[in-house]
Amino acid sequence: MNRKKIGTIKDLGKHNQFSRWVDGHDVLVYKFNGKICGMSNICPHFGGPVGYHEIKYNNGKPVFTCLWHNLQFDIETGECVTRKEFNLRKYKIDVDNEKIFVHIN
Amino acid sequence: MSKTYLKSVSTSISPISKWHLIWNYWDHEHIVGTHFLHYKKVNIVFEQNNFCFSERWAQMFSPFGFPYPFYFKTNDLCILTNDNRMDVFHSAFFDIIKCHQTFIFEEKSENETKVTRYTYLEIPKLFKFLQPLYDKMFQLWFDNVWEEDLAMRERRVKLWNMGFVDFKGLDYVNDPNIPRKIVNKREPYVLKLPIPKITQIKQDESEKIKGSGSEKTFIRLFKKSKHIGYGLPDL
Repeated sequence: MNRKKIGTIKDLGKHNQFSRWVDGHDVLVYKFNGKICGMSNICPHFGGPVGYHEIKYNNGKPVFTCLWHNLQFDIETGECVTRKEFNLRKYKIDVDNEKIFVHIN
Repeated sequence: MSKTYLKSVSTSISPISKWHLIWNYWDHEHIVGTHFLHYKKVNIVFEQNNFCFSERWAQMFSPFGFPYPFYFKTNDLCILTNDNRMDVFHSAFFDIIKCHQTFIFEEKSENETKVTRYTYLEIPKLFKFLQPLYDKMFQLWFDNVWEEDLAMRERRVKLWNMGFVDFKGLDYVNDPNIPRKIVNKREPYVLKLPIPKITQIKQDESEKIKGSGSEKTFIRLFKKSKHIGYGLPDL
C-alpha cells in the first residue's frame, strides 16, 4: 500500500467532506462523528460522483447519494442501500500534522 | 387558426466522442439525478433500440431568469434517426404545446463532437412576436442543462479511458489486491440501446415480489443540496 497525501484538514471545509483524484483513485474524504474516513467516490453503476452532495439520511441512516442516478451508500460501510449488488471501497486514512493521507494500491 | 414556429438554434462542442455524447442523451434516468434542480420525475413509458417514449416533469425558466413556480409535464418521443441525428418531439397541455427538436452530431475527432440543436415550437401566428423572449428562455435552459451534462460527460469519458466497466466499476479500486494497469488506448466505445436501468438489476426474492424489476419511473430524491461538487483539483 502507498501512503499518499490527499489534502489537509482545511480542505474538509464547512461540510466536512471533499473528494480528490490520487493516482487513479477518486477518494471521498469525510468527517463523521469526529472521525475522518475515506471511501471511493466512484459509483460502480456508471461512475457518478458519490460525494457531490452533502450527507443525506435514508430511513435515519446517513448516506451519500450519487449525483447521476441517486444510488445511495451507507457512509459507514460503503454498502449500497438502493441496490445490494454495489459496494464502495473504504480507504484507510490517517492524519499527521493537519495533513490527510490515504493508503492506496 | 394558422400556425407558425418559434425557432431556436445553438451549437456547442463537447470534448468527447460521439457515442459517449449520445449515451448522455439516452441515459434518461439521469435527468432526476444530474438535473435534479430542473426535473422532479421521469417515466419511461416505452423504449427500444432507437426510440424512447417518456413523460417528464420539468421546471422551466422564465425569460427573466427565474424559474416558473410550477412543473410542465411533457410527453417526449426521442428517436435516434441515424448515427448523426436525433429527433425529439415534445407535447404538453393536452397537445396544445408542440415542440420539435433536432440534434445533429458531427464527430470532429476521436475526442470532439459538435452538436447543433434546432428547436421549433409550434404556436398560433399571432404569438410570433414572442420570438425574442423565447430565444432568451430557451438559451437559459440550454446553458444550465449543458453545464451540468458537460461535467458528467467529461467524468464519464475519463473513467472509461481508465478501464471503467458499467455496473462493475474499476477493478483495481474494487479490489486492493489488483494492481492498477495504465490503459493506453481502449477499444472504441460501443453504445447499446436501450441503456439498462438500475431497477432492472436482479434483486433478491423479496424485492422481486414487490415488482421493482421492471419499474421505469424515476423520482428525484431531494430538491436542495449543498453542491459539494465533482472534487478538488489535483495536488
